[in-house]
Formats: sequence, C-alpha cells, structure tokens
Amino acid sequence: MTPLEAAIVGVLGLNAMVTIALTAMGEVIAERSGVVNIGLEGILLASAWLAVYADIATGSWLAGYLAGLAMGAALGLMHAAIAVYARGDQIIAGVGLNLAAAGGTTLGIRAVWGNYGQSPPVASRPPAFDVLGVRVSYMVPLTFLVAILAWWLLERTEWGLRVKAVGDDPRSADALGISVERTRLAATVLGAALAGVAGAYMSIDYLGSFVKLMSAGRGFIALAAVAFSGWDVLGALLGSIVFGLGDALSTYYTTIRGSSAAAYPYRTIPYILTLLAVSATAWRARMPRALGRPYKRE
Amino acid sequence: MEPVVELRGIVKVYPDGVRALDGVSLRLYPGRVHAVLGENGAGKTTLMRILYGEIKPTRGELLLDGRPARFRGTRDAIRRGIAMIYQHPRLVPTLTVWENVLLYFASAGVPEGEAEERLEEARRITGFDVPLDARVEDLPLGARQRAEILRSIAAGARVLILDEPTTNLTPQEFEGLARAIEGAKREGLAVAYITHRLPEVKAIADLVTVLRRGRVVASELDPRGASEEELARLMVGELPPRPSRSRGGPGDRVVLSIEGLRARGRMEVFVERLEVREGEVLGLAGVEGNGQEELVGAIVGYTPRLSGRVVVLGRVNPTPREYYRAGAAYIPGDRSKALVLHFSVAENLAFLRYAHEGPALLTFSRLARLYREVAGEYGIVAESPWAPAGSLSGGNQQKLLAASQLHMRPRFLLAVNPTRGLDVATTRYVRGLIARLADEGAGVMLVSSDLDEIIELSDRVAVISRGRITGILPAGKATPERIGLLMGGAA
Amino acid sequence: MSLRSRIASETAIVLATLAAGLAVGAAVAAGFHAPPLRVMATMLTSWRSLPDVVAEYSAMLALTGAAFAVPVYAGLFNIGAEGSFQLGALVALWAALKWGGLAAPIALGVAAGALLSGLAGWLRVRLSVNEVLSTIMLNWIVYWLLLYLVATKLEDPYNPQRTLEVPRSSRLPWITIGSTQIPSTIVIAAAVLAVLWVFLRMTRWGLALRFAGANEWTSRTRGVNVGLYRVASMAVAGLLAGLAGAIHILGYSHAIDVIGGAVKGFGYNGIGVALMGRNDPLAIIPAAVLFATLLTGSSLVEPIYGVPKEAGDFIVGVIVVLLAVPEAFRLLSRLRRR
Repeated sequence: MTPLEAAIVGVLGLNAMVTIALTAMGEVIAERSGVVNIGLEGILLASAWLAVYADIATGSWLAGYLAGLAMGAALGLMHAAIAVYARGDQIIAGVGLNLAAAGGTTLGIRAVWGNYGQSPPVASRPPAFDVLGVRVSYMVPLTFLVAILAWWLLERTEWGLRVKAVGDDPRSADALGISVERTRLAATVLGAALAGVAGAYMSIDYLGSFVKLMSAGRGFIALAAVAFSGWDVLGALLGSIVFGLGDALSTYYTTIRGSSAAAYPYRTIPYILTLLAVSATAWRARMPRALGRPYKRE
Repeated sequence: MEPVVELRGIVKVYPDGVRALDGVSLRLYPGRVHAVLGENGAGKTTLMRILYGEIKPTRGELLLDGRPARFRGTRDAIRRGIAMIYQHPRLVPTLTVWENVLLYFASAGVPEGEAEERLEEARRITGFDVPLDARVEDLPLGARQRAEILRSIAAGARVLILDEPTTNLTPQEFEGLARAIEGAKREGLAVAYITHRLPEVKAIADLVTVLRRGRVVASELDPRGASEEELARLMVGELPPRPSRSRGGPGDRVVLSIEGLRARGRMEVFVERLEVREGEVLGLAGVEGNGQEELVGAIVGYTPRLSGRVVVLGRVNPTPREYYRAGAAYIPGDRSKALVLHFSVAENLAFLRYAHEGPALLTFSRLARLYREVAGEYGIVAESPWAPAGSLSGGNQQKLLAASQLHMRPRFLLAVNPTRGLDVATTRYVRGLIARLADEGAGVMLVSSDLDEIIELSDRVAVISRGRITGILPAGKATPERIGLLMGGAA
Repeated sequence: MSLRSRIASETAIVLATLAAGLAVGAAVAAGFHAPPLRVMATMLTSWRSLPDVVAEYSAMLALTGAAFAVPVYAGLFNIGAEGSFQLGALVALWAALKWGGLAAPIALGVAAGALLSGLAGWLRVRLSVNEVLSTIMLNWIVYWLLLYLVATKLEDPYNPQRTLEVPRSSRLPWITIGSTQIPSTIVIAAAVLAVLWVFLRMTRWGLALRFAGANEWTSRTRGVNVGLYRVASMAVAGLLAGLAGAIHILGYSHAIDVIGGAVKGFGYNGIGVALMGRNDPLAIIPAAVLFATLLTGSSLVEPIYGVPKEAGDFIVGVIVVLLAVPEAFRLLSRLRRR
C-alpha cells in the first residue's frame, strides 16, 4: 500500500465510520438509560430502505434523511413500548426486529422495485466534497458535531443526569421523583432516531442505492463500539473510527482483487477487528447497572 | 389541631390478591411525631408508599390541608412537600450526593440558585453534615440516610416519613437522628415514624397508631400512657412461647475456627481469632455492611480469602463444595437472593440440598418425595411441590430455605438474619429450630443485625465493626448497651 | 398459579402469537395482490407436497432451536447457531471428501461447531465479551470463509456453481414410509432432543445448569462453577448446531452452492423456534415442524401467487418480536377479566 493509497483508505474509513458512529452514539444514550437495543441492525436496514423510497418518490435527499429519521424513531418507539412499558425481553425483541427487518426490506425491494436484490440509484444524492478524489459526505464533519452535542447532553445537562440515574438505579430514581418510564422512552427513541439517520446515510449518501441486507452486521459492530467505549459517547466515536477503518481496508483489498472469491477472506477484516477490539477491552467496561432489566415497582 | 395530611379509609389490594391494607386512617400533625407501630407485614410501609405517591390505593382518600389530593407519582408528592426516607437509602449510588440533591430539587421545584442557601439552613435544623462531592456508594449507610433527610428538609418538606430509620444505625447514631427529628419538629414539620421497635416509640413519638394485618388496632394513643407490654400485645396479638435453650454448654470439639483471616469483597475484613464449638451458638452482631457479608463468604468459601485459615469441621480453607461435604450448612441472609422464585418449590429444595453432592438422577417422584419429607417435618405450606417458590409467603420461603439446610443434619450451621421480615410466630418457630440444633450438639454461628435475636439465642456474642471483631462477650455480659458501643467501634 | 394453569397460559401466549404472525402473513399476501387465505393455506399445508423438505427443515430447526435454548438456561443468548451450523456442514463436507464414511465427518463437524460456540462462551466468561456480539461476528467470519472455500478449494470443477458432492459412503440413509421418503435426520434430531430434555429436567447437572443461569450468586454459594457451566452450555449449543450442519450435508443437501443457500438461515430461524417452544426441548419439536412448514410453504407460494418467499422470514420475525412480550399478553388478559 503506497502512502497515497493509505490516505485514501483513511478517507474511505471516515465515510464508513459515519454509519457505525451515529448508531453507536445513539445506543450509548439508550443504554445509559438501561435499555439495550440489539435491533439496531434491523433499524439500519428499515430506515435505509425507507430513505431510498422517499428519496426516489420525492426527488429530494432531505426527504430521504427525514424518512430514515422517522423510521428509526418509530422503531425506537416500538422497542421502548416493548422494553419499558410491556416489560418484555429486550434482547429477544431486538432479535425479532432484526429478523423482521431482514425479511421485510427484502419484501420491500420486490414490492416497490420489482426485483430481488436492489433498488435503482437514488434520484437525489446529498451534496458532498472531494478529498483525494474520494467523495466525502458532509455527514462526516456533522458526525463529530453530533458527538459533541451528545456528550454535552449526557454529561452536562440535568436530562443526562436523569438518564444515568434511571440506568444505574431506577428504584432510587423513582424515589427522587423521576419518571423511569418516560426517561427511558425518550432515550430509546432518541438513540433509535440516530440509528435511523445512520441507515439513511448508508443507503442514499454512502452507497446511493438500497441493496438487500446491506447493513452486513454494522448494527452489531456499533453495539461492539458501545461496549468498547465503556458507555461513553466520545469513546464510541473513537471505536467507530477504528471499525470504519476496518471496513475501508476490507473494501480496499476486495476492490484490488476484483470481485473474485479470492477477495472473500478480506471481507472478514471488520468482524475480526471488532472481535479482537472488544475482547481486549470488555473486561474493564463499566456497564450501566440496570442495563436490560425492566423496572417494576413491587 | 388541624392535621397537615390525613389518610382516610385506605384499602390496598395487590394484583396477586393480597389485602395489605383494609380501611386504614391516619392523621399527621405539624410539629408532632406520629409513630406507626406494627410488626413485619402489618402494612406500615404500604401505607407510607401510598402517601408518597409511589403506589395507588385501591380505595380511600388522601387529604392535604383538609382538601382532597391525588398523586400520580412520587414527583407530585415531593412537590406538595412530602418526603420519604426509606428503610434502605434510595440515592443513585453512582452519582455524587450533590447530583442526587440536584435531581431531587428539580423534582421539588427548588431553583438551582437557592440550593446552597437551603442546604445551609437544613444543616442548621438537623445538625447533619454530609460531604456533597462524595460518590454515594463510597458513603456508609448512616451517612446516606443523613443526606436524604438533609436534602428533604432543604427542599422544603412539610411532612417527613421515616421508614424503620434505625435499621442501619448504631444505637449511638440513633441519638443524632433523634436530635434531627427534634429540629424538624421545631420547624413545624409533621413526622411519621414507622417502626416495630417499642423503645424507639417511647423515646421519640408524641402519638402512636398501631397496625396489625392491615387494620388499625389502636389510634393516636399517647405513648407515655401505655406500657411496652401493652403496645407489644396490640402489635402482635397472642403469641406462641419463646424458644428456650437448654444451654448445656459447649462441648470440646471445635467445629469452626478462624485464624488471621483476611478477605475482601466490597470491603476488607480481618479476623484475628474466632471459634465455634459443638453445642454452642456464637452470635455475630453488627450494623449491616460492616463486613458480615465478606466474613460469611470467606467461611463458606465463595469470597476469596487473601490470607489466614478457616477450618470447618476439620477441612482447612474449604471451597463451597468441600464446606457442605464436610457436614456444614448455610442459611443466607436474603431469601429472595438465595432462592429462584420462578422455579418450583421442589426444584429449589433439591438444588439447595443436593447441589454439592447427591443423586445424579432427580426424577419427579424423587423430588416429590423430598418435598413431602421436608414439608411434613418443618410445616411448609405450599399449593404443591410444583408451585413456584415465589408463590409462597415470606415465612414459608424462609422455612423452605432453613429446611433445605437442616435436612442435611449439619454439624455446623452458619445462619444469616434467619428471621428477617417474618411475623412473630414464624420468627419464634425458626429461632426454635436453631436452638434445637445447638441443643442437639451442632455448632451454630448466627449472624444478625437484630440485637434481640442475638441476645435471645447466643452463648457468646462477637461484635463486628468496619471489618474487625471489636469484642467477644459471654451471654451474661452481652447487654444491648455493651454490644451497641462495640458496634459503633468502641473497644 | 398452578402448574396446569401455567402451561395453559404459556400455550395461549404461543397460539395468540402464532395467530398474529399468520395474520401478518395474510396481510403481506394481500399487499402482493394474492388471495390471502389461499396463500396461507398453501403455506401451512406444504408438508403435503414436499414432505421430505418439511421433515428435513424440522430436524434442522429443532436442533438449532435447541442450540439457542440450552445457553438460555445458563443465562446466555447464543445467536451463533448460524455460524456453528455452517462450520459443521463445511467441516463435515471436507472430511467426507477426504476420508469418506460417517464417523469422521460427523465427529469433526460436531467438534468444530462446539469449538466455535465454546470460544464465544469462553470469551464471555473470561473476558466479559458479550456473547451476542461475539457470536454475530463469528457468524460473519464463518460465512465469508465458507463462501471462499466453496468457490476455491472445494469447488466442483465440472459445476463451478457448487462444491463437490459428498461420496456415497458418507450419506445418511433415507426412510421410506408408505410411498414417501424422508431423510433420517429427523430421527437423529428427535432422539437428541429427548436426551436433552431428560438431562435438563431430571439430572442434578441439569438442575445446576438452570440455577447457574437463573441465579449466579446462589449457585456460587453452593459450589457450582458458574463459568464452567456457561462455557459448557455454549459448547453444547455449538455441538447441537454443528451436528445439524453435518447431518444436513451428509443426509440431505450433499453439496453447498456458491452463495451458501443450502446452509443459510437455519441458525437464525432456530431462535424463533426456541422462543416459540418456550425453550423446552420437547415443545421445540412441534415449533420446529410449524416453522419448517411455514418456511417451506413460503417458497411454494412464490411461483403460484407471486408472493416472495421472504414473506416467511418476515412472519418469523414478527412472531419473535411478539414472543418477547409475554407481559403484554398477561396485561391484556387481566384487563379482559376486569
């Protein structure tokens, strides 16, 4: 790899980072409140699909982004209803969401575009700029801005304090006059909405179309970034940059080998990298203490 | 005098059909301490949680300053000046005291700018001082309780509810609490003081209302006009006789010996020397959280021992499996932690009885046989062996836990708070079982935060404070005062 | 609540969920302008036209369902049956091509599956790596390696769309019942699940495993090595899924195609099967038959009515989401009583 190629891989990595980072930071917020959403993969897919649909239907990329955001928020609302109000099993609900979204979006391709594998290219792609001849989305700098905002929200506001209180000790939070349910609902919906934006980015911005099962485990890589970060927004951003680079490396090697089977082993890079990173750091992580546990006054 | 708060005809039926309160009325007056006396399960805490807006009554009304009020949650109650101090502190352990105070002030509608000034005023009233920058989990339970009282008064509470406030206090800390309550009274606060301890009622209350099984059996008595015996009879009704120990004296054989043991769990404990002989009950007294958990874990072997020796029935530093195989048994202090409440009664019994050693095949008929044997001997009442353990009453759960261990015919028993939360009759029954085991020649170590229990059963009493044994007293010299001083760390 | 009424309420929950899932399926059919009732009827009677496919899918889903269920007893969520299944199939195929016979391919396939899941269990216990994450990552790693080997080392030179076929000596026999033939894998699966049920419900180790999952603290105080039980539960899960993969390749598909279609989806759908069977090895069997019927049926309706076969996956997903909320069902039934 020449220095120029390395730099290009770096830029590609930043593009790939956006999906993981937005999803991971949203999930940090949700998990700090005590709600796990394993269904991020499904949210990415569903919102990516809807974003392309909306983009093509209206001819506006902004409508695409808004549609992704709305889909994310709606699925977050559903997850919160199950996890917070119905006190269902959060992991199982998430697994189900992933299965349903995988089936549902594939059905959606057939229903809307009449083929088995992908949508046509989007009608309107968001504006972007060039770095070393690579298209870079404005979402890249925006992601860093979102990181700062999310950090400020969690660490510097009373709402952030409430989120942490319900995530660590809901019984005490309740006794302090905080509504555990409403706080968790808000955090879950906000987190899922960010994943929705990430999904829209992935389809209309990063790739320019919707492809069957295109998220390829990125929702789970985002979950890995959350664990890697020790439930911290900025740590999650850092993890996402690393995992985004893994993604870019995989793309780089796959591309220079054409699309032949010889390139397949390189496709495993992001997953191996993620597994190694989490294995090296998970033991020290400080999980929110009531993570995944529904709250019920006895 | 006009009451600040009045609860009228409160009925509470839980979804599982348990009738916790059956037409209870209670009035709280400004500048008065109203004690609500009752034994465990009488419905005291339920009543207070209704007043605090945490749960909703099935029937009945709540009047605030003579006008009906409705709380949709704790936040409404806090806004209207009602403050609750739970039996076990409810502060978020991972946040600092200051952050907890801010969240509470936000609920109470106190502007952040006034926070400092208000806290200063509350310090003056209560005489309490708490480090605001400390993380809550680094503070002892007593300090957490003081922080809760301080912030409640600072937020402008008019009604202060104290639920069994001395559970986690030394007798000496109780005096500080009494002074703070005096201060609150002078400010005109109405205080509800929930307890089952008679001396506290006599010492602190202006009025006393007695609850039994969800009903008021005596209302607004003057505690100075009633004797402790009268109050006790009102509280518990008729009682089975107290268990008696034959006190034949300990034998020669040492069943547990500890030498220079150092162990670490949430805190570090160090025990220079401790022995239990056959036929003897050694009581271990102390305020909760002073290293009992760690010491117990190090004896059974599930908490790492850093150095020193524990010898149980001849086995040196046993693993848990070796501990039970040597003929020792263990009744943990928290039955909801020791049982799996959604597993069946028979499965819980079989696991606690056989996990360390037992038949490989546990068929349904074998489990049913074990259950019949044990339920018959210890009077456990369950719908069937296959009913979930959680469907049993607290007393039956405790009997189940104890029975699984006594069925092993142990020669050494380690029992932690074996009667916590039980009614008086079951308490006496369980204490009787322990006394009988010792009379039959087994050694018993009884770890309890209930001083009455320790004094009633023990041949010798050891006291633990901040992870150290601060003294060992023979039965004759183990008075509450002596033990209390040692609990506070005085040598 | 008595045992009988508990079983009754669990059954009611499962049936209500199933009804909701089928209603969603009917709605999808309507969305594709197909007659909903006839589409669902075709889906649910797929065993009539394709008994061998339904039998094979039932066997596979019962085993992968059990691979999800066993770790749940130890308190873990194993999403890795997909990877263990594929690795088991791949290794069994490779061993069959190399040595022939049944013993080596099955033993190695099972061992490979057990090692893969066992690794995830070990990572969880020793390094606190969340098992959902690690098993998903391992699934993807196995998937790409499988595609690589299928298209390179194991490729059939005369048919580059797939691998070489399992030799005759390594094939499991089929069973003839009247005029229909079904693969013998269904017998293996039923026997394995029965043994599993006895182990979980009637042995001291089964009891210890269930306590280790339900209450780590009490297990430790009773001398149960919780970490060991957890790793073992994952290894057993991998063993079950690896076995499924191995006997699938030896007894049914005999080769793998270049997109891995022959070995895809069994692990993920097993999750739904386990949830529907409430993690009980015996109840998993009818759940597996039901899901097998549905999934086989969804490929059947595609050529007839033009409803894509992914409708089956979608129905499964919806059923799983609904199965996550037993509390909601209880809430509903309480409201009705009022």
